[in-house]
Amino acid sequence: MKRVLGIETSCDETAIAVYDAEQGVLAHNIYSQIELHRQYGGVVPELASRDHQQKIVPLLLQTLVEANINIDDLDGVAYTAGPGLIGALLVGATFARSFAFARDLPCVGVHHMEGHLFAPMLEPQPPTTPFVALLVSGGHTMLVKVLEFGNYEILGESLDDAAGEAFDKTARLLGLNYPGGPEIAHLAEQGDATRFEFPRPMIKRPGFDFSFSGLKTAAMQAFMATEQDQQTKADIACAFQLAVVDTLSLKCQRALKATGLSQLVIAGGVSANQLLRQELHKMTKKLQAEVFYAKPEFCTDNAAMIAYVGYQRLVRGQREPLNFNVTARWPMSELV
Amino acid sequence: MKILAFDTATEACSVALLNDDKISECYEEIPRGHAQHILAMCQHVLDEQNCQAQDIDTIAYGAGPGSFTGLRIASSVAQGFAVALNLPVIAISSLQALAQAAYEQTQNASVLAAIDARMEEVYFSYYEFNTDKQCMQEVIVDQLCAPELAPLPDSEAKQYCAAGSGWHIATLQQRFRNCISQTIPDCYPRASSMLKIAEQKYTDGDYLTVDKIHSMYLRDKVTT
Ligand SMILES: Nc1ncnc2c1ncn2[C@@H]1O[C@H](COP(=O)(O)OP(=O)(O)O)[C@@H](O)[C@H]1O
Repeated sequence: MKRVLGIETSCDETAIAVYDAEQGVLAHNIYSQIELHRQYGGVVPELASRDHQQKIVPLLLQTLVEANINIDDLDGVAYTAGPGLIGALLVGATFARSFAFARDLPCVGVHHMEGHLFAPMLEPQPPTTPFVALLVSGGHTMLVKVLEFGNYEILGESLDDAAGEAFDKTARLLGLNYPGGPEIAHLAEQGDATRFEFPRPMIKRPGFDFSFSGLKTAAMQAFMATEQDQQTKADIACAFQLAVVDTLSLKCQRALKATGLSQLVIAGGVSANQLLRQELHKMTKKLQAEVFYAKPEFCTDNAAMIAYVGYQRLVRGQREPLNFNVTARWPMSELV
Repeated sequence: MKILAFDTATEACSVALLNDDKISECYEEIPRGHAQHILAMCQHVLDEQNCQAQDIDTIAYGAGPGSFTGLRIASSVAQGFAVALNLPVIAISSLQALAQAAYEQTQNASVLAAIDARMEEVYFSYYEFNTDKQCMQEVIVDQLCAPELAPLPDSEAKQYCAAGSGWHIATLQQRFRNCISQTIPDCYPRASSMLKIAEQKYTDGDYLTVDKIHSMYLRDKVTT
């Protein structure tokens, strides 16, 4: 087992990658459907499925060319088996499983969030297990103790909105585009950090759970009480981002202390946030710990992380049978 | 000549292998879960003929119209095989496959094929047996229409076999009552019937390269 093909179609990105155990990611491509769905104000599942089907083959062929390998050079296949949109997942899974069947290659389904969790492993200086991981994406916010590959303990998670979701909802409130995270971060650069002060939800409570819906509401109430001019928007973006980052940082600090571990991994779309990275650098430095994250293109949905996790599962002998399945809702806690 | 054919456009899920002159088939009617069954079925027909996937010369898939998810399962399998084995691919209309299955069952050379498209519409077409090609050929193009607007035949002289789930719809039956001699609403497209069509298409050079594999949804309005 050396080279694994990764296929990701869980939502609105078609992604293909080839991971090589010795050389790392040989090539990867991501095709985003954001434009396709923009006019509908959200992802239309049927359109997403149809588009994945059209893009998957050209993207695969292009990736093989860029990786400078032939189909014969692949030793295994990995695909995202969930969580995500059922129809979209089914396109990638059916293609991947059939491709592997026809070539008699081992094949494995991968949990999308486990992919995110290990995306920082693709960096030149990766973390080593055990570590604490903060998973922050559009659908998840959780703190996980990673003892070794495949052995996870969930320390805490969001009781309502995910951090990315809170970014997106607040962005919509401020009239910004989807995805809202980068837009808020950009606007916050012009903001006055002292004008508004938003709550840091649940920091007084013990434990590692999060809650972001109250913060979103606080931002909305503050916004409604003003003229809603451009400067106000920037000030709210600034205060909102600060409150999210502070909260995340504090819980991470708590998790590092409680576990006695000295490596913190951040992963998922929100881990691309610059302020979050800065704050976590400062915080971990004080604890003589270290923070790790993926390069920006591997923070959001991609297939390199799927190929990597697939490789790890395949070398451990895991195989998806011919009666493969995909799962729209698949809690991390059920991952074995 | 080895052809692997499969169809998942309707409740029926089927795979067939033509191995020179021998045929193996797996056929099941299941409400869902076609994706979970199809590869095991492929394995089964290959094993039965002592063949390997690598021995296949071409694949034929049910391209639609039919259930959206079903169509994508068949075309994803087709894509997977075609890329993996560098094979030409034959897209077959599910209505043509249905008409062929109806012909094989009834020997009636004229078939009105109709698949229930939900939302008070049907996927509909006419097919006739062609003696040169030795299989059913379309008389009009496959279409999506309301049962009460399905195109009537030019004359009432000919008597048709009405095949497919669309004929469970009373309006459709009523509209065609004068030109139907036989109704088989529980007839589905099936892979073994696709083999004849596939052979003919292959001979005619009517096949696709992998980048051209697609589904014929017919219904393109999927948002409100
Ligand atoms: N720089 C950023 N700052 C904050 N949030 C961000 C940033 N970049 C992306 N995001 C957020 O990340 C989320 C998307 O991440 P992703 O891992 O693709 O999520 P999922 O797979 O759960 O949809 C979106 O909610 C987006 O707003």
